[in-house]
Amino acid sequence: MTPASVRKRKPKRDDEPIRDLLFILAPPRSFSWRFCAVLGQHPQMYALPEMHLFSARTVGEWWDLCAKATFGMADGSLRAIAEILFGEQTEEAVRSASGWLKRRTHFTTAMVLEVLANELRPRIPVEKSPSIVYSIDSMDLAHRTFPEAKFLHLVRHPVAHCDSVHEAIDALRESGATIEHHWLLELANHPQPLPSEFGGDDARVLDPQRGWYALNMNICNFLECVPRNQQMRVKAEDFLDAPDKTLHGILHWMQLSASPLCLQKMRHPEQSRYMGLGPPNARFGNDSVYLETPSLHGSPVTQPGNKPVHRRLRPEIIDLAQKFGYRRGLR
Amino acid sequence: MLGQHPDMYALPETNLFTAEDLAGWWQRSIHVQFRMTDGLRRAVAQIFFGSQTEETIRCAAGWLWQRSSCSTAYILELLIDRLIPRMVIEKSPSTVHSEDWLRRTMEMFPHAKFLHLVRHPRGYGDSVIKQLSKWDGKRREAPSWLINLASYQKNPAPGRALDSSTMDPQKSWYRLNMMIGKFLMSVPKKQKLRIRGEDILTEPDKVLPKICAWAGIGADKKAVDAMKHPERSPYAFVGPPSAPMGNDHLFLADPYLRPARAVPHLSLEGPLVWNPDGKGFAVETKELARQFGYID
Repeated sequence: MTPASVRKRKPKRDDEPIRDLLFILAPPRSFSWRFCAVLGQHPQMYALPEMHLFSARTVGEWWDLCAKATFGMADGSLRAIAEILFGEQTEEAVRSASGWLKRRTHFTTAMVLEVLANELRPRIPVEKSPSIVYSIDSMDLAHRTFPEAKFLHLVRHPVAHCDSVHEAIDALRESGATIEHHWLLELANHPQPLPSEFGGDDARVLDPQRGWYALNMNICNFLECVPRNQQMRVKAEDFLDAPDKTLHGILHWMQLSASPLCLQKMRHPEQSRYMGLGPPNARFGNDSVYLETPSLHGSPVTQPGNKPVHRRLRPEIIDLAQKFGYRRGLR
Repeated sequence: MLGQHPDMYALPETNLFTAEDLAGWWQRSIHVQFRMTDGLRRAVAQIFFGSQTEETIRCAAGWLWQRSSCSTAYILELLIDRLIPRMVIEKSPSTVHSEDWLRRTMEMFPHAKFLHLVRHPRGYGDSVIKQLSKWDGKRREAPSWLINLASYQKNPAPGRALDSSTMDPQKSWYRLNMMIGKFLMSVPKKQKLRIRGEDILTEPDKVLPKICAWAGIGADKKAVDAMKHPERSPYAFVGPPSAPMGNDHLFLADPYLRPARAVPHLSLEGPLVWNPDGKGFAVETKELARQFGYID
């Protein structure tokens, strides 16, 4: 066995705790990868692909979940490890990454992130796996293992979210793909009924506002345990409409440089190492729609109210959206 | 031999791939009839604690117990990391007894190279029978792994192998080599090589450079000469009392390269010494042996 197949270079020192780490918490279809990729172009940050690490406690459990997943759940981690530890994203490097992860079934998933964060020092890793917001336990695990990490809650208007989910499902249907167990269908048909639905038949109807509410409430409930200075909420629409202003606010909170040069670099998320499809043995790792349109304004943004609302928004949705600062397009 | 090349390092028999994690490996060692942990304890003592004494063997056992939750492949990675830049050679015969264990090697080390070492079925069978006879001469029960090689039964009853009706080592030769062959079909061509053991013993100057070229390391005269001295391996002797083994006991007793051990021109035809009814090799055994380059 050659040393090169084990690791290309010796690990960096890991005796310093990981203090700087940013988690983006957002339900799917919230522009989170675009947002993450923009942040990752800041010279002091590094955007990771979707690693889904905190869905499991150990790497062994994580591999078991990957085997059952209906999407390429392992792809993001394989690409990140191939890139960061083995220097490239080729089929060969992805095979090395797979072996590296298989040999670490006893590691906690947080240890894997720690290894990567150590390699990336002094850059701050930005993690944004949508799966983490499906369970408060997953977010708790992230906070418990990285107690000084920051958490950014990225929100989107509920109507735009619902339209986006419906559009994505329609597009999937048109493409002829099997959607029976697709995560989008689960998102559109979240099993948890809204409080106002109890006792009625509505729970059987495809309604993405249920997922929007359940996942955002998960995040809100989790953030109650996170110190104020370690959390921030950003509206995706603000980021898309006025990126410089929004990024200034985020960089100020992160205590990072907001120089014109930094902002200029952040306008080019397409330069992320994870933009575009990966090698055949790890194709995805990010929003597959955005992978094909990789620019800051590369795909149309559904503005609230521009598309027909499939159903009226429930009162709790309106309340929560107002709490997030949305005023228009709710009724 | 290979481990004496300055760019390579031969481990003793670690038997690591027979379990998923080290706790399972320790557990397994309780149930087998050979000193399964000696090789790894000796390797850890030598590589991490600098020598193989009773004290360092105890330290190695503690080091391994501390890592009970680790995957066995991770333990091997730690050894490899410690031996950088040398290429590590693992050769535990136990690995080839299970498709799952073989598959595990490739899954854990996807870029590893695999050298399939073959032996003439007659030389192999004679050797197995000779070892069994030694145990019989001592009036002691042979270990189950040896009985298994002789009879290739799934659950061999002690002593049954000495019954001539069940004893036929060509079965284990055929099935183990077939299992290796099947596994190697999933390995990319550049990562595998087949070598006849007899050729290494009789023509080391020709065969060793061929192996080096395939492994991507130099094969100058100094390196090849060094490889002809397996007795210089830190594992080429009986270890301390608490971990004496870790390699074939015949090698430990006489670790020198002796080309005369390879009996030249063995035939695939004719009766077998272990077969009282005068039958020769089965058709499929002869066919596989011919694929390995053993001609009549």
